[in-house]
Amino acid sequence: VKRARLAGAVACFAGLVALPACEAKRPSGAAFDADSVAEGFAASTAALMCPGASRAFQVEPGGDLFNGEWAVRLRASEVAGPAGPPRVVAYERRWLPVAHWTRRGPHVRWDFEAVARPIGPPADTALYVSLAVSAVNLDRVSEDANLDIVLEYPTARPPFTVFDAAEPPRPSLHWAGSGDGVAWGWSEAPASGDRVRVHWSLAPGERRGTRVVLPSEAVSARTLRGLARDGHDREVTTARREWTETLGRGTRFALRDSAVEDAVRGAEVVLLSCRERRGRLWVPIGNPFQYRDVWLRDGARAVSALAVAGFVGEARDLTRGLLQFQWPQGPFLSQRGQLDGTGQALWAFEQAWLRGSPPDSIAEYADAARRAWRWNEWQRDLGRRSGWPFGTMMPFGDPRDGELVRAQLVGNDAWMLAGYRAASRLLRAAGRNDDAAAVESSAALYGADFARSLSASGARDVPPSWQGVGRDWGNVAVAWPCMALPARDPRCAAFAERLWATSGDGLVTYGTRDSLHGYLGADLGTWAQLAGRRDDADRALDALLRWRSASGGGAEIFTREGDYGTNLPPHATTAAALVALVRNSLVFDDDDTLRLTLGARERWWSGTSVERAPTRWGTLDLAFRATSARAEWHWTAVPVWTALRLPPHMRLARELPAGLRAGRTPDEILAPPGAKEASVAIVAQVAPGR
Amino acid sequence: VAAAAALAALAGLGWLRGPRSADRPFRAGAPAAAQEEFSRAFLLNRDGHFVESLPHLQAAMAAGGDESAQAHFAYGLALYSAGFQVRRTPWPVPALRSSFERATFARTAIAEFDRAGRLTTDPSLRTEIAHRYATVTQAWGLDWETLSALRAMESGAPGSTDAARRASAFAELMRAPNRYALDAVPVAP
Repeated sequence: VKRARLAGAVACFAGLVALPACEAKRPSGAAFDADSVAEGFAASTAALMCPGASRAFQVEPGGDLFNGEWAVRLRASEVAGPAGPPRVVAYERRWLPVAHWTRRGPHVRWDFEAVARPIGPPADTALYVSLAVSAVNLDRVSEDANLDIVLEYPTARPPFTVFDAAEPPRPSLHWAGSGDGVAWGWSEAPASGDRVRVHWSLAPGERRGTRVVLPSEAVSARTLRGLARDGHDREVTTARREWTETLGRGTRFALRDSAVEDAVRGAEVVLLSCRERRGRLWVPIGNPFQYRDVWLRDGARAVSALAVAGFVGEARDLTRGLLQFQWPQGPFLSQRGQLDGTGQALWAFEQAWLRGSPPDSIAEYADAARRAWRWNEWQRDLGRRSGWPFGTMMPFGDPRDGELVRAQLVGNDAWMLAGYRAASRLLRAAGRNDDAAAVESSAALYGADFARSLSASGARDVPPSWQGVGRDWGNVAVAWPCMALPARDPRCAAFAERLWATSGDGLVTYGTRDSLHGYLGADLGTWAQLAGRRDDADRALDALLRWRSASGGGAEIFTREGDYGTNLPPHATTAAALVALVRNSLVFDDDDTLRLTLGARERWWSGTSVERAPTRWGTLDLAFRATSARAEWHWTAVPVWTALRLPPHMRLARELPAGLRAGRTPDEILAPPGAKEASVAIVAQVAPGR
Repeated sequence: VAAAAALAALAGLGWLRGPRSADRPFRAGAPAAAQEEFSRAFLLNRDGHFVESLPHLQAAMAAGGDESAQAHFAYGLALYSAGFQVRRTPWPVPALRSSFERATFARTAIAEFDRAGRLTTDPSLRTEIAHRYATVTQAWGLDWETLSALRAMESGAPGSTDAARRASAFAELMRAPNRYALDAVPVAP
C-alpha cells in the first residue's frame, strides 16, 4: 500500500511538472483519419465499452460522451466560432475499439481519440475512458483555440439510462481535485467544479493537446489519479494489444477479403463486450446502451456466434448464466410471454458444449434439457387431450416484442423442435442414450404435428402464428437455425421470397416498408446457402456489411436512409448474425454432414484458410483455393461425410476422382469420413440463354 | 357459450398487493420481532416499495415466522411485484436490474407460494394462493400452468361460480388466443 501511495504521489507530482510538455506532445491518434472510414448510418456513433462492465459511454453524433447518467460535453471553438460536429466516429480499421473523430472549425481542426479500459479485472464493475483531444491550427496566422469539457446531467430524457443512476437529489458533478473525495473525471488541464477550460494560442501548423480520464461511475479522486498514471498513449497501446490478442484466440478467418475479416472482428468485439457479470456468472446483454438486459432470444444467438467464432470458453460461461433462467418445472423464460426461450436455451447449450474440446461433463446441461423436454411433453399431452385446433403446439404467448400479437407463435414451436434436437444430442453426449432415444422419438411426432399444423393453418408459406396473425419474427428461424423444415421445402422458398419482395434488400423490413431490420432476415442468408441460392445469400451478407457503423456495429431497426432513431447500435444479435453467416458460408456443422465452402465467395477462392474452427466433430482447420480449372480443399478429417461446394458459377469438368461422390446438387461433392483433402477439375458454367 | 362476461382478473397482470392487513400473519405466540418486521414490510408494500420490503419479510421469517403461510405468501407476492416496480432516477427505470433478477424473483415467488400452500390448512388462503399463482404464471406466459391452477381453484371451491368462470374463460382464451380482449372472454353463464 505504501509503495502504491508513493507511486501515486510521484505520478501526481510528475504530472504537475510535466503539464506544459504534455500539452505540446502530439497525441497518438492524430495521424488516423476517422473521416476515411465508411459509415453505414445517418448518425455516426461509437461505443466505449468493456466486457464485464455494467455501463458504457457512447460517443454521440455531436462528439460528446454520455453514459446513461451524465454527459461529457466537449465544446471546441476558435475566435471565428464553434467547431462543427464530427462527420464520422470510427474505430481503427472499423473494428479495433479505439475511437477517433474529428471536428472542424474555420481554421482549427480538433482530433479526438478515446479508448475504454476496465477498472480492475473483468468483473461486474466500471470502466474508464482515456480521452485525448488535440487541436491543430490550419491557418497561416496564429489562432486562439478554446476547449471546455463540462460534466453535465441531461436536461431531457436521454436515449438510454442506467438502472443504478443516482436518484434526486443528485450529487453535483465535478472533476477530481487534489483531495480524496468522489469525482466524475480527471483532467490533465486545470479543472474547476464541473468544468475544464483549456485555452491555446496556436502558431500556424502548431498542434497542442490535452487529456481527460472519465469513469463510467463516480470513483474516488485517488482512484482516478491512479487510472491516469499510465498516460493515454500507453492505454491505447495496451488496448490495441489486448484486443488483438483476445481476437487472436478465436477462429482465424484469412479470406483475402479484409472488409469481411474486419467486419467479423468488429462483430466479435461487440459480442465479447456485450457481456455482464452476475457474481461468478456471465450473462449476455442486448447492447451496451438501451438493451442492457438479458433476453434468451438474443443471448442464445450470442452464445452460438461466440462458439462458432472460436470463443468456446466465453460461450460456455454464458450458458452457465442462461441456466439460471430455468423454472422448476422445466421451461426457460427470461421475459414475460417469450416462450421461445426454452428451445433457444437448449440450442445454446448444444452450440457451446458440443463444439470444440469435449467438456469433462455436461450432465448439468443434459439434465436441464431433459427437464425442459418433459415440461413440453406435458404441455403437448394436455393440448392433445384438449382437442383444440392447434392443441399440440405450444400455447399462446404475448411476447411484447417483435411479433406484436397474442397468439400461438410458429417460431416458438420451431425453436422447441431445435431444443428437442439439442436435448437429444446433449443426452447422447452425456451417455444417456435411452433418454436421447425417447427425446428423438417424441421429436419425430412433434415434427409431424408441426407439419400438420402448417397444412391446417392454410398459409402458403410459414405464417407468424398458427392463427395466422402477427408480424414475421420467430418464424424467420424455421428453416435455419431451427431446421424445423428442410431447406428445400417449398414453403421456405415462398416465405423468403415474400419477405425479400417487401424489402428489396438482403435484409427484411419490420413493421413499415421503409424499415430494414438488422438481423431478422440474416437467418434467410444461411437458409439460402443450404438451399443452393448463393446469390441470395450474398445479398444478405452484402447488406450486413453495408449497414454497419464506422465503429463496426450493426443496428436493430433503421430506415432505408440509415436513421436508427434511439435504437442505438451496436446490437449484439446483429453482430451474431454476421458472424454466423460468414462462418456458415465456410464451415457448416449443424446437421449430420460437415459442409465446407457452402457460400464461399468468388474472391475467397484465391486462397482462404480457416484455423481453429470449433465444430461438432472437433476443432477444424480448412484451406481452399481454385483456379479456372481446379478446386482444392484441405481440412481436418472428421468422422462424418463432408460436403464440398464448388466455387460460384463453376461445375465439374469431368468424372469425380475415386473416393468422392456426387452430392445432392451439381455443385456439391461428398467426401467420405476420414477424408482430409479433395481436388477436382472444374469449368465455368455456361449461363442459361448464352 | 352465452353471455360475454368481463373478466378483469385475466387482465390484471401488474403488481399484486400483499395482505390487506398487517395484523396477525403469524400464529399466536410468534415473536414480536417477526410481527414488527412484517408490519414494516406491509407499510412498504402498501406504498409500492416491494424491493425495499423484502429484507423485512426475510427478517420476519428469520425471527420466527418461517412456519407462517401468510408470511411466505406475502414474501412471494412482494418478490413477484418487485418485477414491476419502477424507480425514478430522474427518468423511470425498472427497480430490478434486468430479467436475470426479475425471472429469479418470479421463480422464487412461485416457490414461496408452494411453501405457503403446504403450510396452510385454510381453504380460503389456499384459494387465494392458487389465484395469485395463476396470476404469476399467466403474466409469464405459462398458460398450461395457469389453467391448471385455475382448475385447482375451481375444484377447491365447488360452489364458486367465479372460480369456474375464470377457468372457463382462460381455456377459451387458450383455444382462440387472438379472438378476444383479455377482459372480454366469453364464458358460460
